[in-house]
Amino acid sequence: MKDKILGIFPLDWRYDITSLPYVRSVLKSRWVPFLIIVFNLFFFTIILMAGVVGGVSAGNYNFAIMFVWILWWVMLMLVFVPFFSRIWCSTCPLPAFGEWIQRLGFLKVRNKLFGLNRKWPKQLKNMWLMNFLFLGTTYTTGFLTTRPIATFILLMAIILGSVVLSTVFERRSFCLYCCPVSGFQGLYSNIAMTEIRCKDPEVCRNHNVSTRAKALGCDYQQRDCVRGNENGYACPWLEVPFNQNRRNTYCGMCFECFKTCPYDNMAFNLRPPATDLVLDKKRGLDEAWKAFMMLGIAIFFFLIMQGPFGFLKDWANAKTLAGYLSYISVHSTFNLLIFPGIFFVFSYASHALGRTELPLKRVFINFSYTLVPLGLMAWIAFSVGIIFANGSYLIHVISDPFGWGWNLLGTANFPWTPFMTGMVPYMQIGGLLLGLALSLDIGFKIARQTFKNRDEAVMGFYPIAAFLTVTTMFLMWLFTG
Amino acid sequence: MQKKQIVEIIAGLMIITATAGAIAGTFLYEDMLNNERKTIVILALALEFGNWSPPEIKLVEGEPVRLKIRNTDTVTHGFAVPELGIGIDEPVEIKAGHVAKIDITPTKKGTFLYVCTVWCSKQHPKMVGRIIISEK
Repeated sequence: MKDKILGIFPLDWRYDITSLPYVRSVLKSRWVPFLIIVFNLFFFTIILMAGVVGGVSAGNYNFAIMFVWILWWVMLMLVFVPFFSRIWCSTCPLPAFGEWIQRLGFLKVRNKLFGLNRKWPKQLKNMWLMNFLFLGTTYTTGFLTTRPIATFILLMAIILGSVVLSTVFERRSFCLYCCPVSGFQGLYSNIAMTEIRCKDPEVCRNHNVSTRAKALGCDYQQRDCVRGNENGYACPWLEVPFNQNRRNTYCGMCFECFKTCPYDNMAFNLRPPATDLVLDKKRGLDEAWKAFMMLGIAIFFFLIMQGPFGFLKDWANAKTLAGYLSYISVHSTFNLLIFPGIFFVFSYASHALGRTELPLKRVFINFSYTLVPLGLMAWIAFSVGIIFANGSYLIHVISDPFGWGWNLLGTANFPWTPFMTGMVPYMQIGGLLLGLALSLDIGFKIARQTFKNRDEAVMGFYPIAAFLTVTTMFLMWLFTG
Repeated sequence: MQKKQIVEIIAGLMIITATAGAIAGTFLYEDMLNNERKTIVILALALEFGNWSPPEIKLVEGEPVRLKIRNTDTVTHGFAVPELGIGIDEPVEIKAGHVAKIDITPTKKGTFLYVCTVWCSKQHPKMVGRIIISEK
């Protein structure tokens, strides 16, 4: 019997969206994603301007804050990541300057990239740097969501960082290993209901010896998607696109492989959610910690932004130095040590009950991936609470983006109007329960990979199931209590 | 010129339009709006965060002017020039993030105080600026 997600969706079910000829021709065009990047660049130019000239401290009436931290962040968690994986990364305008400098052009394809093109240090080829950079960014959450200039500084730091690193390191090294928002998008994209994979692995396997490849002048050592050709660049994300046993984590969804593949063998698949989490390959401590941190940060963000504890808001807003240092200490200790520590205790119990020969570290890492569905759903629950309560500010700022008294669309005087807030707790509970169901389902599949037989898997999974259930109950109490 | 070069130029122009064009367009539009009438921008901030900016504005008797008061603060502010009758019969209340526009033509010369009329902070009574109206 085929394995299914939630007992409904067969794990290997796929539908290639690019089987629709028009979609395929759009994705093969060099204008995609360029045109979307230009569109986003326009918006981010306005955002950066609003960060400087759009007001001093009225965050909820500032275009930069509203569009970045209310609209973009919520879209990322609610739509982009769960449905389209890292599609944002392919259209993100922030690292585009770095990439255009490397390519010395916008649409043309060059064989050699400008810059030093150094390899990223091997020790840093993981998520640790991104984990710490993201954690560091969350230290400023009190400023980012209330002071427009803080958002300007963060975005400019990302732009400048990507430009500098793009001239030193190869391709999208900045996005892969440095961007603070890249890590969680990568990890949570394992849940995404889309993926880019090859259509027929056999075609890729035979690529080296094909006469067509010879005719196109391919180097037989490498496939076109890996080394690039006259139609497109080598995978900017340093992926091996034809590898079927990869996860979405590091695929930037740029569709460059669609352009380079001489056999038109790439597919943009619809798939059941969370299928990547079942893949028993390349699981690591860096990603495990990302899962802990993301869930922990969701809890902290809720407490700071929507919770009843005024003193926490004051701490995060740095009302006093002592309070701010307390926030950093408590926030870091909980996310880096306490939360993973609690999970470790449950992993230890799992290891003991399941009696596996695998090391405890492996059990700990494997099961940490069960936090991914629950973590994403916690963020979705958090985002739902933000967008329905505060979304109406967007209607104001779109008409008066700089607070200069404009009324571009006639909505500058639209009052703050919370929308469907009575439904929010139900949506949050529903989302969290769905997250729990997915986490339990994925968790048991991981248990079967981790332990020798079904009985041991059941025994070994009990502590993890208990942890997931208790955490979900806590989150439900937190969000709706 | 090759087709590829033309395409690159078009792409480059699109990027310039999206960035420099957006910035230039913003300021041109603001200038266009302000050209309708001489406009003076006043920032409303509680005393702790900077007070009215500028704290002193100079007008000329008989010359029409638009006061554009931007509340860039997190609290509501008010605006009144009691001696000129501004904001007295029709109180001007400006919510955080909003802008009030007041068109006036000064009819008497002298120095007048403009004040915040909404209790905005502990230092609210000190949130005062000056309008100096000179002879034409």
